[in-house]
Amino acid sequence: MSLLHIENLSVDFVTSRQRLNVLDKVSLRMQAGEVLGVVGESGSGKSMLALAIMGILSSRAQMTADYLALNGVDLMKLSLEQRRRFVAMNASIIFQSPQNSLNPSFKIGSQLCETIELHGTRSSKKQKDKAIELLDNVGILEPEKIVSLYPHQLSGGMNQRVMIAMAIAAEPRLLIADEPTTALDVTIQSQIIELLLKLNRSREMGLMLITHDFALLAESTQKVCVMYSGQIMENAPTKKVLMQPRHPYSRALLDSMPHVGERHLKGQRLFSLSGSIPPIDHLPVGCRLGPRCPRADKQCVKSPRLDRIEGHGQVRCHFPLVANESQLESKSKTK
Amino acid sequence: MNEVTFYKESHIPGRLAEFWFRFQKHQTAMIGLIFLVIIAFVALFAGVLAPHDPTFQNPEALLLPPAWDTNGQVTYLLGTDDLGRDLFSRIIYGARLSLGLSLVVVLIALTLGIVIGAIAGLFRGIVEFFILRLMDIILAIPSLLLAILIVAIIGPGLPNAIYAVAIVLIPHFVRIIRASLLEEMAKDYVTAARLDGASKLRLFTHSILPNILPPIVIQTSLAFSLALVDIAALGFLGLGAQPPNPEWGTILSQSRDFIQLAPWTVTIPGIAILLTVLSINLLGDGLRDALDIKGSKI
Amino acid sequence: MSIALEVKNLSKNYRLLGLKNRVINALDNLSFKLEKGKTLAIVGESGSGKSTLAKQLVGIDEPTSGSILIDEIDISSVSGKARKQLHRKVRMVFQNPASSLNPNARIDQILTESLRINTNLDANQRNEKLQRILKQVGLQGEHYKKFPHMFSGGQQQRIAIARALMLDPSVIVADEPLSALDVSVQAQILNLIMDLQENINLSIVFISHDLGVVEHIADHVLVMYRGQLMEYGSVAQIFDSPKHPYTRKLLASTPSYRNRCKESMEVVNLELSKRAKKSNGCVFAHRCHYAQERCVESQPVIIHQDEHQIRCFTPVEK
Repeated sequence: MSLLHIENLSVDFVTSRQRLNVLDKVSLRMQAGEVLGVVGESGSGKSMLALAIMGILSSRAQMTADYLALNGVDLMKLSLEQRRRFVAMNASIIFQSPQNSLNPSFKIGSQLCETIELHGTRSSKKQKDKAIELLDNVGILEPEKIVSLYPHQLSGGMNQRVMIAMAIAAEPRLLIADEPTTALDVTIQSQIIELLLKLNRSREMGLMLITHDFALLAESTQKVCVMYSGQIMENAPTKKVLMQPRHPYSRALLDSMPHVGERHLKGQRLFSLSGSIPPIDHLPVGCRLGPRCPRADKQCVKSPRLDRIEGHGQVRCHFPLVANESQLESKSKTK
Repeated sequence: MNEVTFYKESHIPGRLAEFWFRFQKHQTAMIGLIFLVIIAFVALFAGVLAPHDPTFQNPEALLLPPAWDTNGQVTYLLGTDDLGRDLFSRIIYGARLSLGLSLVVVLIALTLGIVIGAIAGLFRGIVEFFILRLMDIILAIPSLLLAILIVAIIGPGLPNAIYAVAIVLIPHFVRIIRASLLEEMAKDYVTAARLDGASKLRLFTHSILPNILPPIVIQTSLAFSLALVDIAALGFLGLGAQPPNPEWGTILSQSRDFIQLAPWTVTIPGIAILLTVLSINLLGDGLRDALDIKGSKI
Repeated sequence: MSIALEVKNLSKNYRLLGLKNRVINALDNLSFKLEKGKTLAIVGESGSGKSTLAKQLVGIDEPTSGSILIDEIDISSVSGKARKQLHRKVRMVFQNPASSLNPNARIDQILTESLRINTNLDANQRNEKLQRILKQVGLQGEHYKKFPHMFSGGQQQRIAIARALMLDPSVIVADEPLSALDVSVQAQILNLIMDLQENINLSIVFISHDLGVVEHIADHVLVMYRGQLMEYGSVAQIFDSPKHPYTRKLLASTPSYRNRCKESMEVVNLELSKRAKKSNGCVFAHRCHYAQERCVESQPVIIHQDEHQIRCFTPVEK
């Protein structure tokens, strides 16, 4: 049984004038204790996916799915209220900016206790002990002092740890981390990722790491799901995506990042996709990457399907890269 | 390296078109706008539209009720006052006075408000401190009371009433302009303009002013309705427009003695003031919604 | 090789209003040189004084002490109009392109504003220059009648770069110019900056927290912490043999560089770290893996090893 099993999840935003498709038939599976990376740029739908799984989309969003199961329970068969309750017990989410997620007018301790109470601990003494234990678990020194402080008295990294402590209070089977380190300094970033991975290992907690940073995924995830304009473009084991990506978009993303030891003194330029991400109310016909893709051909005006490639994973492309093809055809490294 | 356009540009409406699209969806604001346009039209063409001279006294027709009354005459649509003047014509000419005066007052207050607000926001320090405290003092006194005080000091009459009401309105403009100016000053594009070498004056007129127009426009609509009410009130108290000027407040006060004998002479100018102020406020509401650019995207 | 920008003993203090009249040293005795046509990257976490430095360089803010030399002329030696002209030689590109462009002005107005103020060019000459610069940054000429919000983030950043180029500057200060952009667009802008540098011999101060980008674009790197220089050197020196514990910590925190600095970066002596926070010793001592007693007692001076500079008592030799 998978921890998370999604088949054809779509989300549309309906306005008076139009219907905007922000997630298009996303299907994925996560096993218990697995770390899945979701990469994509802005507008790729990666955060929308997280909100859809948690059931906290805005009221204007319409969500449809053939199957959406968490811990073996089909969420689509539950009422909204039942669904929220079930998800709250089994999954948690942390966001990019901890400052915005914590209430500035309450002490850390009381916010934690509130969460703990929601999950069934009644006695306030026990709540406090649990809060201190949780803060200790997320690597906060002197948790007894921290509980009586306000969020603004802590650094961004500390606040993110508090958010993680709140998220694991319910002992969730799945933790979704939506760009958990983007707002933090590099030295803090690595600590937070380490903490998340430690929790993943020690608690057998599935971790969905949403990010735009490929390098971050390399050492922390087992599987990667590359998204673009609301679709999954490639879904495969991390090593395979990083070493031999089959989708031109994954390849382009990897190539557009500077590599270690690559210095401009040698006259090198980075590979870059031309143009920019299409706005969701103005998607191209057929393959959504089509107009920017160096491999695009006539066939690409028809939408490609997410097909399985043996020994690799799923790829949505008419012309996937061949296993040993390491460079994009039109790729020009030197000027 | 050339940027290639792959997507057909979706039609992007201009700023004004976008504003109109949002405004016309606001039904009550549209009603207010239509009513105001009608009044403005009437005021402009008062000479053509009014059936009688507003000051002509007809001794044959004193205190005639409106035309729909059994004792009314069709030639005096809204009846006459105690001196036999046609109320309808007086209201029409009064629209010219009331609306025109309010406009003048608002323009004076707006101009001075922008200048003073800009000085406070751009120069900061001691200048700002004194300007703001002075504005606080003015704001601390109820607006009508202050207007009465000023008129009492400089003497009654139309020009003095205009100054008084303008002074009362200035602090609102100063505050809103300074606040929005400071907000804009912190933004990168203003820093960029400073780096271009723009002087403070140029910074204000070229970079900041176009970006703080929405709050100014909203404040102007608010000030307009305030000015209308205050001028009418001064007229009613005999401190503003003097009889026989057909200013709405003045008409109201002159007919006060006949409220039981000829109630229409009081109600009709009252209704004129009420409807005009109401429609300005409705319009202001619509402006606020339509100009609030934030949150307009999904 | 001529020097485009030189900073000597630059300090900037901010007085904090409050119960105790505390003074914050946003920049502390900073010195560096930038050769013509080269790129100096400034690296550090938030609060390291990177942005304060940028403000001093472009002249939005006056330094408390020290001097800035632009094209080998000390800006404090000239005054009035000449000083303004000198400051126009250093132009800035901001982090967030959307907020750095006036939303109510057309692109041509935004771009030619500096020409209107600082030059005597007539409308035709201005337009000519506008078209030339737009082409240089890879934008089609017909774009110039549109408003900023009609462009994508990458295009907006191109426009912001074009604005910086309008006055033919010798130095461009780019404050995190990529961090508001999408990954696939970042490479475009990075390539553009490198192209410009080659084509018009531009000197660049590149402020960034992304070490991968820094390694790719920089000739020299300045690592800052709490307003002080921690380490300065060529790209090779900083990335191949980092010697300051802070530089090593930064590298170890970045996934792709982790295997270069394998040692643990955890603070060893908690008690020492606590004291270091309150002392007047090395500003980095409280987070330093290698901190010793003397790091808490006194501030280290900068060690010069050829052009490699390190502010540390015990540089890491590996």
